[in-house]
Amino acid sequence: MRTMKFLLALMALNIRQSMALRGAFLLKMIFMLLNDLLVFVVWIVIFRTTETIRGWTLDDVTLLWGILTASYGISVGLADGARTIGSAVRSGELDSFLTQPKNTLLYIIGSRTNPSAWGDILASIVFFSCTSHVTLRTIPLIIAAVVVAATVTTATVVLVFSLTFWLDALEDLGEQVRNYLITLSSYPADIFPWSVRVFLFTVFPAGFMGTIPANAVREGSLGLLLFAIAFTGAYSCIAYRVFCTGLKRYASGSRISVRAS
Amino acid sequence: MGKYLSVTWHGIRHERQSPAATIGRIGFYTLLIVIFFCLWGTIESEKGGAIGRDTILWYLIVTEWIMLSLPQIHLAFEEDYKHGDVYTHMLRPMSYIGMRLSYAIGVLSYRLAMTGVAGVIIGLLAAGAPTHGISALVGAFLMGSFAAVLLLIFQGVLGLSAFWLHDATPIYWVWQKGNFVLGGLMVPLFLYPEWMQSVALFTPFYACMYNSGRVVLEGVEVLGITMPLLGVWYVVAFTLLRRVSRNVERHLLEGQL
Repeated sequence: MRTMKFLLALMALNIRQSMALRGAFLLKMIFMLLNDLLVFVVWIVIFRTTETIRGWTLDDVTLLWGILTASYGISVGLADGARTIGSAVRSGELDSFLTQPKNTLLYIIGSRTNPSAWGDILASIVFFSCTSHVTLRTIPLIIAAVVVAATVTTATVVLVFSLTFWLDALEDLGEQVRNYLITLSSYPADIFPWSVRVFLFTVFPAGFMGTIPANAVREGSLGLLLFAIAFTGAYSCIAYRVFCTGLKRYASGSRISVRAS
Repeated sequence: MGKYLSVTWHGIRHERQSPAATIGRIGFYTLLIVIFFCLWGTIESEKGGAIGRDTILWYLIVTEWIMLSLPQIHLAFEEDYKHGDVYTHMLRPMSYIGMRLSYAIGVLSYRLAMTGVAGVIIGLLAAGAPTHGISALVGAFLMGSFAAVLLLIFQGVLGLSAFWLHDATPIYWVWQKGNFVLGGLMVPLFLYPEWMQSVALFTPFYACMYNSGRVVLEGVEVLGITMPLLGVWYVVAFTLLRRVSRNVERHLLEGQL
């Protein structure tokens, strides 16, 4: 309960901080919205050449993008601090988090927000309003799908950047892996051969960021959604364990820093 | 001129010192080509070969090669402005903007070379030789190199907007996505609706991205059309850069920023 209160307070603070500079906030939000909508134009053009791609229609891809942009917006808006784990480990900034009587991982991931996340969330609203898959019956499925995708996104970022506890050089790799994930998850996994799909649903869970949640909604499959939730839970536990194991290896950088929040 | 060339060489050397970044970029490039290989292969199998996957693959190898090689010069200008480093750079006996562009051209050259080699290997393994032969590929890479420098100049102009807007990144996002869509980065423009092709024709993206990929689709003869158009956009870019540069330097000297 106290942890939940702490997280809510952290989120509220981050949101207030990001909105402090109204002009910059609005600029990032609007341009990110345009950014997402412009990229989607390519899919509209692709679907002019064919009506379906392995059973996926433009309507289905619109749903996929709605889930992706919403989940990415939530992940970046509420947990962008996950991307700073690597630099915090390298520079010794982790000390200021460790001295607080709060869950270290939650504190770090909730320590930063990105105003562009609101643009992603607005874009998701546009995508959801343009797809026929959004009905009163599917809204709970969509909400669950978005939460699953957001959790997998955040857990992957935590997992990859936590590897910096063992090897400094992996911090740069973390950004690359993040880019790979975002790119792979924006395409229906069904276009790939089976060997690639196995990879996307296991080692590199891009499939759980996009295709699986979208399929759960397309097919109205509670079973598939429960499977995705189970995977997400297990995957998040692994990410948390990796972070905690790495934290035991952490040696203070003796850097003096002050956290205002 | 010699001082700008030495800055360019410094950019090349600095980029060479980051092999991990180069490997990461080539890895991402390979991933994108694999994705498009699968996507267009799927479309070709469903449309019965109406759209040639191997042909489009070479087009995408060229366009993605340009896109992924571009350094983020807009971030360099933005960081210089935010941290006040711009005043330190102005102490050098060279134009600050010229210095930044020269350095970025060095970085770009190295990336074009490394990513280009990877692209040729991937293309030959996945799709075999291009339909119009190796001469078309050489022509595409030549065209693409000039196109990449032009795009870099435009991105530099965008980056200088940070001196007024404080943050050039949002504008860069839209510019980049405009390049994706109107430059035919992922889908050749001839597959677009005609009205979109007409709109794209009046943007530098058409001249840079699509026209570079076109060389491998239509053969080296098309250079006779694409190069002059690129030349026109070079004039536009340099005029814009000169005007914006003068405004930036005047404001810096007068302390208005």
